[in-house]
Amino acid sequence: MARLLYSRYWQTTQRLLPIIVLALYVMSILVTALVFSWLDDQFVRYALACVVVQTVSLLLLTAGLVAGKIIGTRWNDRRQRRIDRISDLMAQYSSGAESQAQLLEAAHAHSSEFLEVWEASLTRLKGSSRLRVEGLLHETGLHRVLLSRLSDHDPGRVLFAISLLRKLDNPIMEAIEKALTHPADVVRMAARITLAARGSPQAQERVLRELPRLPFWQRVVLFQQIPGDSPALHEYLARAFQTGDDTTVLAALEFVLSRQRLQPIGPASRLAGSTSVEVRIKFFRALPFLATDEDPVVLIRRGLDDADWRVRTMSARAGGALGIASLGPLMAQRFARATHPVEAGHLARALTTLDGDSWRRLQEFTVAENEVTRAIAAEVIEKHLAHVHQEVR
Amino acid sequence: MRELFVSFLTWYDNLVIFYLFAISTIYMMLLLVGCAALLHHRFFRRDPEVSRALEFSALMPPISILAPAFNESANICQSVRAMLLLRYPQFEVVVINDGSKDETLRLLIDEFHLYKSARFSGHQLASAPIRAIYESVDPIPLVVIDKGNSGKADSLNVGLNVARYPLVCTVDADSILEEDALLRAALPFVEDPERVIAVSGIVRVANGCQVTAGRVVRVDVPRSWLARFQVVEYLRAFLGGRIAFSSYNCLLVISGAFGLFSKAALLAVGGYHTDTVGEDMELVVRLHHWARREHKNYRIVFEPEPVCWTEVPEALSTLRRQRSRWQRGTIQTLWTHRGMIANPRYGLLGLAAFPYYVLFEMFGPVVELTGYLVTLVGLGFNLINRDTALLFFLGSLTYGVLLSVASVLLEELTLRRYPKVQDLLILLTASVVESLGFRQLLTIWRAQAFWHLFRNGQAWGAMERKGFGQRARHTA
Repeated sequence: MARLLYSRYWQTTQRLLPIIVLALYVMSILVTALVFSWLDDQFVRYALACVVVQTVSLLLLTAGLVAGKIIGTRWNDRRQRRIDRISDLMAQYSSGAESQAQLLEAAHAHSSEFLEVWEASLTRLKGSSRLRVEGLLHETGLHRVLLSRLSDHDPGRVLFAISLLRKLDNPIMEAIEKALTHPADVVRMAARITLAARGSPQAQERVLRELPRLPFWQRVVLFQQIPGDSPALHEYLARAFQTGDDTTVLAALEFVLSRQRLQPIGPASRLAGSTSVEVRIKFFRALPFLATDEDPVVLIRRGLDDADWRVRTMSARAGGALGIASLGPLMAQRFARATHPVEAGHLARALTTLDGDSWRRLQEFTVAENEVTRAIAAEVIEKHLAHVHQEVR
Repeated sequence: MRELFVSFLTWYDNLVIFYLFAISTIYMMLLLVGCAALLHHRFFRRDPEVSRALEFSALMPPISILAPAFNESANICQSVRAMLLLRYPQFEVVVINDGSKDETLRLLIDEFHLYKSARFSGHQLASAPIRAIYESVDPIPLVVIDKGNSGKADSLNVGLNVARYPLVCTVDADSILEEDALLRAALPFVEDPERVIAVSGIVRVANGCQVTAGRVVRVDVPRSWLARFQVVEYLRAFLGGRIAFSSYNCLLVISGAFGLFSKAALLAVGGYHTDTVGEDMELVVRLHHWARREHKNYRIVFEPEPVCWTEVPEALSTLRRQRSRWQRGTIQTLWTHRGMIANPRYGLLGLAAFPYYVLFEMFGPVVELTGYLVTLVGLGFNLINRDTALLFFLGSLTYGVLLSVASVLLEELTLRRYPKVQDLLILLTASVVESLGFRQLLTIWRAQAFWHLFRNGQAWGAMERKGFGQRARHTA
């Protein structure tokens, strides 16, 4: 059942299930109608059978679930008491008290509760206390159990094992690496997350190689995991920006955007003039974080001349973030004839950050003929002054 | 002549009995589809690291929360504070004061240190003029728009003109979003950015729950039976129908209390229509209409985990007005988009979802009510036999009980928000008892909506709010 739940056949099963149940339901009505064969009116017979089938199935289901709830509630209460007891012992143990024997005993008797408390303690604790608690996994022998679960067919169990093993200071990465070939996507993703955060450079490189092929949300998650000082990451990014493949470039730009740290990329004019509008938008959005060999003024001018307003918007934003004063007159000119309010807003905000007479130029727009230009200039000036006022305070 | 009349009555009674069994079977199927989807949702284990990473990612699409408020002084500060504390990387809260006659605006100005700002408002959508836009001197992403009273739909259009972000979340100002509701609702947009244009969350009943600092801290069943009946109704509507329709991309309703939309899609369809009282359903149907007409590969999704808690009416008069309005909204929407009914160009939506709504949601109350009347008249004048009448009442009762009990069981089997055995038993009792009077009352009110629609189609009616954990007060 668990394998089906994680498999690609689940969607089909989900759609077939009601049809199967409908067939069973119709069959039950037909059989029940036989019991009422003494009724002459066929309509009444089948209607009555319908009522009986519906009522009986509901009663059975209700009885089952109420009983399940009663049993479940009691079981949960008992489990909670065990968790509370183990938590107390764990707290004593982490602060140096001699409760190890009792903890080991509890771990053998109630491993699931022990692991829950152990995981929560590792999240909370730091330093020597954490190390002490971490060692308990080996002492209880539960690490062997978790390692054996990594080759389980049930994705839920593998996921559970990975999420615990990744909490260790030195997780056994070879074992987790094997999960990269697990049939369930959710397990492969968990393995990637662990390897990206804690794996060897080779393992990280393997994850990075897969990045462009992964869905957007998985890339977003993985970008958060990879350490900024990873040599594999720097090598990957340096290569990615030079490939002509839009998907690879986009993934690399997304990474820069998610981290917002300076990243050397070498020549960038090809990205500024890419045929893919998405690459151009993301390139200019990420430009303040890209250390390029080329003059950013040239790149931004090119962006401000782009046919797509979203690219122009991001170029204006980059110009403002980089504080290139020489772009002031051009930005003011573009602000006067901006076609989209978002573009105009970014141009105006950029003008507030540039030295020279950009600020004065922006103020002049508060009496412009164009209503939109006037309103945006007023808003940006007000926001800027409020910001300055707050900093002074 | 008498024989003809008698055979007509018997025939009509049998037709209604057949109708009731048909609808209960269809509902059962919908609940089963919903059950399969919810079971997957419950047992499919997710890596906790994923939501942690998304919560802090700069790549998550920013969201503008639009909260229209009309005389909401009872809850407004608490609600806005709770919205500002939502867990999401980047969002802004836009409260639209729809010409409140109470202290709503003043309370907001005092509580959040608002000043009149020069924030630019676009004119993409035609809407009522704005009196003033306020922002906070504190570093909080709050915008309050003040305007004359022009209704909820128009207020949302004003909000759309002012909103800055690519996703917009519409909420009722008196509702409470769970801390991670935005994150969970935004997931479908991140997982399938090319296709998803709207996401519906689930709306749950907050009456009886313990609310502290704008958060539901303990879930409990309401004390009044009227509110308990509505808990069952909400479960039935959300866990059965909506999940099932969403599985086939045929979701026709996203509750006005909580929905997340692509702003581009909303602007493309022209925002909310102001000439309907069911603006939430009308918008979603129009989104379908537009997307199918433009041959877009799109999805409108229901997600059972993002939760919005709302206070339901505990007075019959308020409930009557609310239900009449909902029914009028349904009728108006289906009538406006009648071209989609049974139209193969719209696929399953036109061939299954629309006919279902017309037959069972729109005409259901009328059919059921006339069934009661015909049976009672027939019995009174001895025109139909007792067996047929008995079967009608039995069928009607089983149909109601089946749907309600099954919804409560579905909740228990999957989401399990009500922790105690006692809660489950109370809800099961409510789902049986509601079929002995309450449902019939709703049927009458909903049938009356046809009449009200002809007389006074646009009236919203007043809403009485107690405020979360406060004394009752009127916010008409």
